[in-house]
Amino acid sequence: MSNNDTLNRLTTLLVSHFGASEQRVSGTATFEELDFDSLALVELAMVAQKEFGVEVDEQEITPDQSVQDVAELIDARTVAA
Amino acid sequence: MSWPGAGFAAAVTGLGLVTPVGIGVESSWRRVLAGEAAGSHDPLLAGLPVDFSCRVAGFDPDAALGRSAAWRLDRSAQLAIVALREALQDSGLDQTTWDGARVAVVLGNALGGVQTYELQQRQLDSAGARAVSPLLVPMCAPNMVAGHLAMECGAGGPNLVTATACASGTTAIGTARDLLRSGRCDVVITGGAEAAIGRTMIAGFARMGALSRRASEPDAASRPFDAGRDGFVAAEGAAVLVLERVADARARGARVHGMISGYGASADAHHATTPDPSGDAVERAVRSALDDAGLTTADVDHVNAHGTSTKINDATEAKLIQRLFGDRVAVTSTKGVMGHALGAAGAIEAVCTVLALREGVVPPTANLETLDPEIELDVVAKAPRLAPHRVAVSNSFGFGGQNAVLVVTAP
Repeated sequence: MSNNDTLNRLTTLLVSHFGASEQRVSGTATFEELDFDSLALVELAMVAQKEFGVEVDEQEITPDQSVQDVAELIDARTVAA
Repeated sequence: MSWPGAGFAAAVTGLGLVTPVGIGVESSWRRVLAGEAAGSHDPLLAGLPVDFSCRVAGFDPDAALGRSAAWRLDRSAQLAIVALREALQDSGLDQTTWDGARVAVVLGNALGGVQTYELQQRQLDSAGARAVSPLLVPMCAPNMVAGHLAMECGAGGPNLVTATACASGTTAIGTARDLLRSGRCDVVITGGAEAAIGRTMIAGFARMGALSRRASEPDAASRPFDAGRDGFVAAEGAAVLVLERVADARARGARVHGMISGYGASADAHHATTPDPSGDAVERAVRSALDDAGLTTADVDHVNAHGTSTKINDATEAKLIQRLFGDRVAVTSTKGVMGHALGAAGAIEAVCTVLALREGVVPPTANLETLDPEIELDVVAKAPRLAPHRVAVSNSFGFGGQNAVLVVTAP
């Protein structure tokens, strides 16, 4: 489980930067469901890296992953760092 | 009539404007008629030798388009989509029932997404390649704006951007009319869009000596044909016109705002940035546009000049207008109000020319206080002039010596 703070911050980022619908963003929503295409996923890796200060490779975020999955990835990196 | 297609008029059935003086045709036109200039200090240009411009004030892309669309678009495409929506609504065309494959898009743009490019260049320099947005290329390629308009409305016909610098919007409309005449489409969405007021670009224009330095009075800096003019003021904006064959427009009972009746183009083949002082190529463009319309110089009532407010453009253009039309035509430059929106300028001015004929009024050239004594023209200044004109010419000249001229006629 990611901590709630990371999930909340990620959710906020998805809404504020990418304009994802607040109604549709949840921990279980996949990026495909949120209409993220491949370029948006690369942008997400870039923006998340800046927001959370951890390295996220662009190939690491895939359309079938959920928001929760990415929050956990960020947390794992944060702990490792 | 110089060639077999002469006399083809394209009906203008939809208009959309996003300009430094208004978001929408009505609000922009009101300010143009009032001669209220838009120039103001520009926080993004702070510290540069020229720190003022004509931006579209109050434009909120997230509010207009939704954040999920807006973040992926360069500002030029954002402005164009808003102008498109207005033009389509105005046209009364129904995108749910039209044959999208028969709808073309031809838009003018000069400099692509240079604001996006400049921002991303700074990201690269300060934070490395991984900080460069994957949207950089689709945001700054100059053709994208036409692609985005097609995506917005489902226009699946021929789709292109014309780039003839400051003539791009005019070239687009002329090309759009040719496309309609060719039978390759039934509707053309045309016009121009530009949002190129980036720090590096403005520094470059300033180094050329092309921009006004009247920083103490930015709203008086764009003053076409005035004795005290000293350069243009960079602007941004978008204009969209919907063109259809006259018979099609009549058949569906559409409101026709005016006609694009002729188009002429030429190249100075002279110098990268200085107009040919002889004006011969411009004369050729004007005469071929009139030939194309089946008209002569004697038919022309009104000229919407390129009128950039640079010393050399206005002097050269005035001489040419004088040579062709004498002081018999009512001349205006709407750049006094709006500044110079580069690749969008010709399209914005085409809309103003259509409105001038439709409404029977020539807008004043803002900031024209003392006509340059070298210029012997009837330039409308200070107040709008009521005049039931039928035929107008709209001039646009681009760096590279690219000239484009439209003949606009009343509906």
